[in-house]
Amino acid sequence: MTGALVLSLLNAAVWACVIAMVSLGLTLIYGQLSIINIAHGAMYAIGAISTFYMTAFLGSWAYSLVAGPLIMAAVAVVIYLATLRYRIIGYPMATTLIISYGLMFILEQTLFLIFGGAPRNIPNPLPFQVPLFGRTTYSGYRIFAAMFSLAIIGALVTFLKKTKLGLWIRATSQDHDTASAMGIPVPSVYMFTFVLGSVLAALGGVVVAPMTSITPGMGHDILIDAFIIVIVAGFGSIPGTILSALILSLSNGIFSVFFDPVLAKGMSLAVMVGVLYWRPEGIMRY
Amino acid sequence: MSDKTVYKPIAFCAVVAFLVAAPHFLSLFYKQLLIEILIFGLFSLGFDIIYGFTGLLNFGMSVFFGLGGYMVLLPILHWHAGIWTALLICIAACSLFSLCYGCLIARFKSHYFVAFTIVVSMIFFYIAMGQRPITGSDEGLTIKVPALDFGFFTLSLYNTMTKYYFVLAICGLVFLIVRRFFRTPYGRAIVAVRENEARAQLIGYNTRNLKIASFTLSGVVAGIAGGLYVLHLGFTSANSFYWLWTARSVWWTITGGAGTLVGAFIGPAVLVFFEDLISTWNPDFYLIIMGAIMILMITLAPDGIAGLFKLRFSRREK
Repeated sequence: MTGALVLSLLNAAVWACVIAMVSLGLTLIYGQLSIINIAHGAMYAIGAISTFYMTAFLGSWAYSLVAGPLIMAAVAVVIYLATLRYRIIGYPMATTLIISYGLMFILEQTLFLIFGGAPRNIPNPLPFQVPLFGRTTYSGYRIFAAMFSLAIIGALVTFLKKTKLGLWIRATSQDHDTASAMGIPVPSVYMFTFVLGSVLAALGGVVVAPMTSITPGMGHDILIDAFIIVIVAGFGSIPGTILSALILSLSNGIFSVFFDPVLAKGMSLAVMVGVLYWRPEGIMRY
Repeated sequence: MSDKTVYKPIAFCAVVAFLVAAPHFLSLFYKQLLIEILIFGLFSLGFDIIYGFTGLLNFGMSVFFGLGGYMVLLPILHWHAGIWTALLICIAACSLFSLCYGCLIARFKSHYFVAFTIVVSMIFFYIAMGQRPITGSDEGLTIKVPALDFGFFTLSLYNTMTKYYFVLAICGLVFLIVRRFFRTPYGRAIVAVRENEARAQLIGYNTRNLKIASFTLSGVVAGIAGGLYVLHLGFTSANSFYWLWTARSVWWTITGGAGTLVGAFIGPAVLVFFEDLISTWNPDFYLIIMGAIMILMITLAPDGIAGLFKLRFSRREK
């Protein structure tokens, strides 16, 4: 029982790191463009599916760490230029939501036509085990996945806080008119943020691909998780995002030891609703 | 006399005449499609009440749709209830549920409201998925739809013609009730909340109660739609709680024109028809084409199809 609980909690912690990264992508896009990006789940699937093809054709999973984000970035630039730049900013939330819903249809169906609907797996690229205590061991790849996600989050924080472009992004999301008056190229910043957010989703897919079965619709559930994490965290708070991702996945991990996994998922969302009810402005104030 | 006052009754009579006469000249397939359009229109009407008229983006409409469906299905399955009893149970359960739900979340605004509703709908989805003995999980439950009992004679709903008129009657009734409601002073006050909540408060309205009233009405309307859909298919599953249903109602309403009652029906009428046309023409690319249509429609007509007409009429009036 204790062993199962520890393993479940470890899995949950790994998952929290990955989904915190995906959620940060969602936050960036919402904070900048006021779009609830429903296509975020499909972008996550793009990452995972490009990983599948990298592994199948180039023989090594490692290529996908670079290629997945690059493919996603290219797709995101096309999406932005084709749809979002038409003065979407300032439209009501439901309207922009429909646009991203349409994007989700297009992306998912394209993936479906390329990849097919059947779930597929890729072999574990790092098949070693890390000893924990006694005879219990833990998958080395999962530990790598958590470390990688945390490193990306760290890089993102540094980028936003220390570089000029990061400063521009923060300024534009606070007040785009003033930012524009200060000489910041606001349209380019919008596009860059959209691409950056999409790439974070795709990276989530790349990291998750060896741990799960890959389908074009794999992003449906993670989208809701990411969205609730973003809201509970309070928009734009990075420590808040990590904390709320931890709350969601750890409570899910604990419940799934004792209950049916589907029910556990519902219960962990109920915990999040409780947190949201207690602190509607977000769990962290900074 | 402006154009608007002339056109409106004419258009209204034409639509009613078409809807009443439609099953006599349409093929069976299109009759079924029209039934679905009416039900989806009712579902969108539920969303339109809360979004278009009250200004709250409820992204958890699937809760009511799924709940209404199960509240019709379960009494018929377990107690062999008649259709009227089942519908009454559905309406009672949905109004009680949405009233309590509304009281809990009336204090939230904008994206917090969106988040709250979406998560509640997902909680219902996961719970329904987990309770296989009660809900049938994703395989769902099937019922034999009982006959319509009018006391001295009965009509079978397996006759498409009867089913069509039954659905049309209920949709028409609900539509007229909602239309009447938004012309009463109380209904007007709800629209005032959408326009400017602070000002409505200053005038002396209890905006919280207004929002709860609108939320309840929207929940009941969507619940009835869910119930009718179950009577139409004789089947429901836990998937009726999934957020994609909500997204569809949002899409239909916005395309039709949020904030207009007819818009809620125009949206599904156009889109479900298109969807059918394109999916039979090219099943592989149909979702891609639908996605493109969605984006184009929203970009070209952000106020929806009804919004286009409104614009034209109001320009002429000047």
